[in-house]
Amino acid sequence: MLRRLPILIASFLVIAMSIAAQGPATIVFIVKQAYATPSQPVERVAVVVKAGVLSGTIPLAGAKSWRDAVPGLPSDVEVVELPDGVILPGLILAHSRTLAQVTDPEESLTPGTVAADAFDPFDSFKGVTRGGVTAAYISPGFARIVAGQGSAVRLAGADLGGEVLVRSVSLRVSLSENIRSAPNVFNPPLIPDLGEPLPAAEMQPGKTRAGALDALRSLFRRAGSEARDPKWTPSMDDVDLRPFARALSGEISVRVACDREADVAGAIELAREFKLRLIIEGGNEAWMHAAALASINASVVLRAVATPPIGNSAIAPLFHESGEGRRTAAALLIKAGVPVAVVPPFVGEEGEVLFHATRLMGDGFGPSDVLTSVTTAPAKMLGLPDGTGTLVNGRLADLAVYSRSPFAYHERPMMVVSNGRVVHRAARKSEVVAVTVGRIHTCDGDPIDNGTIVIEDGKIRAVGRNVVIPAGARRIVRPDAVVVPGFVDAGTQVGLRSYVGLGDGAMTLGPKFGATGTEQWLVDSFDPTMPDLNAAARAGVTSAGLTPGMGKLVAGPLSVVKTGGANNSILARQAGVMIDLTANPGGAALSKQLDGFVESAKKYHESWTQHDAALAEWKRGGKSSLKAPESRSLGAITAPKSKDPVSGTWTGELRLGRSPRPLPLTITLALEGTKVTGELTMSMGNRRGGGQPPKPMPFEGTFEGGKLKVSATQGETTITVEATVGRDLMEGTVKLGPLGEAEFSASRSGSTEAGASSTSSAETKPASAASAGPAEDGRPKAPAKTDSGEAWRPVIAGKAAIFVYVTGEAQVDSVLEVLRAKHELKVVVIGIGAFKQALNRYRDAGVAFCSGGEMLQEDGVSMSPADLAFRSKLPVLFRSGTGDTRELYGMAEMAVREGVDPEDALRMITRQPARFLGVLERVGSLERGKDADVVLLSGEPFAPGTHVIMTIIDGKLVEEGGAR
Amino acid sequence: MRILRPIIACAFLAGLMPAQDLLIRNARLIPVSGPENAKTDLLIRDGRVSAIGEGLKADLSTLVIDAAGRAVMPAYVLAATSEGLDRPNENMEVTPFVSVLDSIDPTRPFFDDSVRDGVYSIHILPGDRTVIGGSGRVLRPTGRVVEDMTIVPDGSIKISMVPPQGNRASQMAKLRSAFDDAKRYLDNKEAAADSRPSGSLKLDMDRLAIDRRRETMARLLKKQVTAFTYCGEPGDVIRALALATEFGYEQRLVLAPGTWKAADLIAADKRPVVLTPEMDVEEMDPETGKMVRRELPAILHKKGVAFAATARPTSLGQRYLWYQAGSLVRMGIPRDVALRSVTLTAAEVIGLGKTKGSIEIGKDGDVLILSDDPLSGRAWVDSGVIEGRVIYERRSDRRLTEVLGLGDGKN
Repeated sequence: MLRRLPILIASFLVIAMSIAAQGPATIVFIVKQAYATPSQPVERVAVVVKAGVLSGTIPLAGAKSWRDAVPGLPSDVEVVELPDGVILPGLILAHSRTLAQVTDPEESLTPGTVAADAFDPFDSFKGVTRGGVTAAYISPGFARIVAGQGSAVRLAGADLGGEVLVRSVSLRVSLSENIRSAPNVFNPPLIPDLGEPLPAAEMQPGKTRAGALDALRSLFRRAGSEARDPKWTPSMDDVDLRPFARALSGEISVRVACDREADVAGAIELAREFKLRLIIEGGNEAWMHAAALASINASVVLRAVATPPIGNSAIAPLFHESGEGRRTAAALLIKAGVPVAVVPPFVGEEGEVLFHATRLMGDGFGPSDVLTSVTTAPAKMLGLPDGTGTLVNGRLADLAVYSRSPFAYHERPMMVVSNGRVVHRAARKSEVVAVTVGRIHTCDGDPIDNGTIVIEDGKIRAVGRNVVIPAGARRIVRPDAVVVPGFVDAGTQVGLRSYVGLGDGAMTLGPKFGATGTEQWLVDSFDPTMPDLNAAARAGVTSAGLTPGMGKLVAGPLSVVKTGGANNSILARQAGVMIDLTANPGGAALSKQLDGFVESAKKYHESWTQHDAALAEWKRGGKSSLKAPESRSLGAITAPKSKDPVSGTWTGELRLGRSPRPLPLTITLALEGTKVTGELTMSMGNRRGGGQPPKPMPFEGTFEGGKLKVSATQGETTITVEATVGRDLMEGTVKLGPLGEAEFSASRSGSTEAGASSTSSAETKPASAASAGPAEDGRPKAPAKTDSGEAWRPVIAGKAAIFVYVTGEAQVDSVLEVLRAKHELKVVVIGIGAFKQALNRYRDAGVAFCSGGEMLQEDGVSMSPADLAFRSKLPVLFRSGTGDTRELYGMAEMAVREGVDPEDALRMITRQPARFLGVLERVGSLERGKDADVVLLSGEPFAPGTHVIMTIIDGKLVEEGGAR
Repeated sequence: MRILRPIIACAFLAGLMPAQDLLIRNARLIPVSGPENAKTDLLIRDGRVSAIGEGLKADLSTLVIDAAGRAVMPAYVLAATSEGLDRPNENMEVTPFVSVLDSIDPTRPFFDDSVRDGVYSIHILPGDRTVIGGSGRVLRPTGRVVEDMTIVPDGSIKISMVPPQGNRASQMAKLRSAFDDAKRYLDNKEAAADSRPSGSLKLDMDRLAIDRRRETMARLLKKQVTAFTYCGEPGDVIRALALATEFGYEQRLVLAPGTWKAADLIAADKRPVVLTPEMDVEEMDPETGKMVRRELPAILHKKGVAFAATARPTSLGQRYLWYQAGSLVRMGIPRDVALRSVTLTAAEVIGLGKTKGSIEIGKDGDVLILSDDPLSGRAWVDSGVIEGRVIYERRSDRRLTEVLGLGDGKN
């Protein structure tokens, strides 16, 4: 009767399968290697699966193309060609805890319980099958002496689940520590009263090792005498002896869960006495009895150890309930001739069995041993038919397909076939999406009617009316919709969590950051998971220029981020510099300052340009002909000649220990005779989390014979600076008390004004590095990288713009003369101070205007500066600034109301901002090769009622139904 | 008390005998077994439906009710419930020998409510938190003692695939052990009957003795009673079907909405099923990670499975079978199938398809006269008829009058 059941279950499943599953089409895998058996990989091979059946493993050696070697294929064949691919037989898990809903019962002896009865084939086993596992052992229980009978099941996938392969594989016995704490059983659970003073308790077996072994011996003996008759059935209250009888006859194995050496010894004794087919499960210390296990043909289901491979002595140094795991256990057991099946150490890692086997078997064993331990060895222990765990033609296919060597730690199957059905496909790396709409505004030429955009790998593959839509592409067809490029906000503060200058680590939403200077970058506080990004994305804003607020002359660098929420959302770290002229009197002083910034930045840029050229030359094999300029000369650029060699402000950086970032250092000195007084400012703040702005420390010391020696005391720490000073350059060491010491160098800048220090280039000088210049092997030494220099580079290179906040007419001269006329930088003017007066000069100088949507008032009539600028032929771009990014579309809409053509207004929030932020090669228009940042509008842009119906960023759909 | 019961029953049976013919005139007839009739007469004679048609004649002794503007339909059938018991579950797990007979309390408000709600065939079973729960029976809600109320005595047995404690493997082990035990008892008895020692008339009385504790299971194996098997998960369905096939007994599945994945297996079994009062479930789809509502009746209907819907008298809404039928319509199930699920299919599931659940000539005269369409939320049972006897009139329903002021039907 018991044996009829699997057939019944199978027949039910066949019914279900015939309804649920359609016959899979033919799949051909062209791979480098297929492991037909663990020891015989076939090289360069075509593996054919026809209607679920493995119909051939055909070597391709000598064949011109695989099609010659594999004839007679239907036309709808799926070909999976993997030049480095490897195919393994479906992996078999020799032990699992979570695949069936098993909890331990109260009773210590429940041999009649069968694990298969707790297995729900309709469950989803995706987490396990995606690791290549196609069959598994399920346990009837864990922490009881005899929990029942284990079963072997197949994990066929989510829609149908699995099925029971072998209902009763082994009698599951535990001798491990956990049986000692089994509860006493009261059945029926009576409440004691006067008539029945004691509760009815069942006879309990002993729970010590001796007690458990005694119970097992007596049960096996009873089974041997009473239950030999196949018609024997237990009475209601008796233990079912039939599984014991079947174990005695060798029909099923006895699987003993034990880890400690003494428990293993007990299991071996029991197996010897009753001639049982023994399988040790867990087996941390089973290797100590390897020879004895081999002598009784026992095998081991070995839990892979998770401890690191150091410090394992031969005898366990510590008492563990489960004994001491040993990395070489598998090797020792196999050497002794004991079959080993490896299982993962932790619950929930069932899908990682190959990784753990690889890890455990690595020392001294090859792929065939690893593979045996997760295919053929467990197949045998699970009583599966011969050939299970290998590739057998003519059977339903069980395969795990890898794109590279499966024994590399980071590899996972890209496809798993179980029972002839594809149960797992790794997400295809390139998904092709074709969006067909009524009209496409590319912002790069005329609109295209009834056009299609093809997106592949997050990039635009084609745009046009008659483009080829690749087979298998996901189609989005919206004839009513209009496609425009994703909007680019020229300046906003989205996606920022908190930032270095702010101090508190609390989540801060919305734009509220002031000027950062060039030492601090807003982009370092950018968090792609911030919810306001999603809101922006749904409003069609796909790229945002992160811009600092006001408050410093050099307010800070700009960066461009994507709003799609992906990890690689930073489009450009350096995308321009913001200059704030608020309340600056302008005039010659401003011109000089601006010129100073640009000159210094130009030098920095040139030093790197030359270095790059030199490096390229050096790499081509030629000796460095160009000498990288010494960066020390940079420090002197803006420093005016001073009366004495020490007085003034010195700025530099020092690198402390393994700190990834140099710490900025500012020293203000005043010399009187040989006595030096001043302040030392050193930012020790960590990179992310705020901290107070650095506090200047007063210090004093001496300057004699070119040597400077000063010290400052803060709390318990004394900081001593010793340096050699000459020609506006200071080199020496900083002693930081318990933090150790570091070499530094600093250069003198004449001005002590805030902002100036940020432009002065400072040299980083790690302790080991010599000063800039070619190293011994001739490789050009890189100039020091500074944040301030990096911020300016794209501006100097003419790629990104310098955004200037102008508030008065007096500032206009400086901006136009220095930045445009002299240095020919891209300039974007923000702010409407003196706007009408300067408009024509802006146009003549070729300056762009960036509007924050503000309006000019004149005689009580408001007018749009964006419109004025556009009429005056200035390039116009929009930024939401301190407002809500989602208002960007509304600003352009307002421009349309003022008379701007919708096509031009659209460019003000797409192409123009991208151009002036230096990211036009990636975003801002819909062109082949650019990022697939696409917005579907419900109608023509800026028509009444038009709203965003879909936003795609880097080819990924953000969310449907977002509203402006 | 046990001895007294039959006597009391006899006394009441005399009173229960249908004395009068009943003619319901001008009814909008919803027979459930066939198409609706907008206006017709219905005659119930000797407790059975004897004629349907226009202009039926009544003699002087016939009670005539004019149902103009009202709907007449068969009384509701509740295919499975554990209401009306002192407590639904026995403490012990395997108790096939107990019967709800000893547990039903006729004075429970449940029966009073059932009279008012028009539920005139009620299948009461032990609860779900058991392994083998004991015998169930079908009753009408009127009568002073259980024997009066009984329509079918001890015709069913409750099995649960959902473990009250422990896991499903041990649940199966317990079930199988109980069936093995019953089979051995039965085999033993048959063997004893066959192996009469030759030349002797003496029987092995020990082996032939009726073991009352095992008799119910034996009757199940002999297909004299039907198992009602509660399944909470799709895997339970597989095991329930396999167990019934293995031990050869007749079974009806009682399905929680979580079993929807096993719809194909349920359809292949071709037997009507019983639904729990909860008919849909919110689940996370493992593929998409999104919460999806699974409506078991809709899935079963698509696969061609007939089902009976049940009510849970303790919860609002779900306590009414008409509400459950309305819920089915909302899930997209045709109106006639929804109505059947609380009348004819429910009767068929509990083996009363030939006498209850629809208005057909020859069937029991269990009918309801409703103030409105049965699926209307404003419909009341104006009159309730069991086997031709008017057992309920709303206008004389004291509870409605006193509590809600709704008794006279004019509010």
